[in-house]
Amino acid sequence: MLTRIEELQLIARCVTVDSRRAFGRLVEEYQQPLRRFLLNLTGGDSDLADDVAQEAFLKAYSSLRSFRGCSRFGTWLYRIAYNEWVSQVRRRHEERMGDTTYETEETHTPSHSSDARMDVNRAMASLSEPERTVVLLFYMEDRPIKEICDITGFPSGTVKSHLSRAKTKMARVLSK
Amino acid sequence: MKTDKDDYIDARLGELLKETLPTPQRDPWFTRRVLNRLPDRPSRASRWVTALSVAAALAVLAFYWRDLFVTVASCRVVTIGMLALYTLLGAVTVSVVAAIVWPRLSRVM
Repeated sequence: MLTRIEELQLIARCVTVDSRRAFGRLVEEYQQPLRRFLLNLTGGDSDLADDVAQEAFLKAYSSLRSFRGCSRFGTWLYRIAYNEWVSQVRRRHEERMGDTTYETEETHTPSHSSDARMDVNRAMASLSEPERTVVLLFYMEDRPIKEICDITGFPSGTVKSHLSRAKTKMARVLSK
Repeated sequence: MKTDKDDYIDARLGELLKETLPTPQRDPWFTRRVLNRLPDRPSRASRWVTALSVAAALAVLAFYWRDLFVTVASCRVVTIGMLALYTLLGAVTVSVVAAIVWPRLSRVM
């Protein structure tokens, strides 16, 4: 895992000498967590998740000069990816995207009973898009509330209420 | 306020999601695909042409500035024509320097 200093060094190399190798290293570092986040956000659509992740990396590259280093590169990248996802949802009509079912093809799912997997999929499907985003960032990506605010642009109160509502909904589905 | 029970539920829910939700495998082709889609870099030849053009422009400007100073020093009267020439040369110098400096400055900003 890259340290913050290493990350900043790689970014500096990208900005000053347009180093593709340095950017490749950043992509290598962040591709798996970002694709995991997007895969679960898209309800298991791995093609769509990879498309959004690719666009996010390309946008990050073209606006790397505007990266101020106030947050970690990962937080900034997730924010770009989330915005890209939101604009994709808008483009593809939100109501159709909300109905996505969770698929697990071509992915590595830890060994767990398929019943539990289906329950979790149903619980995730019961959440609204912002609730699902917040749940994934908090529980799957282990991001603190402050970083979730930075990524989604929601105020911390909204993040907390999304989390609380999501927990109630998930508990209801899981306890059935 | 968060209680121990909340913390326990959060921890269990986190574990459950991590155990059941899919995680994509690391894909070496993903990085390659991203890098292939990056905008083209200027070629080495075009960088040389730019560098030579910049050097030539600076040399021409240096020559004319020196010439102007020698002319002004040799004659005691400054004419309107000379002032106009100074202004023109100043404007050309500023635009050449801006053309050289601005792309580098905007890259850092």
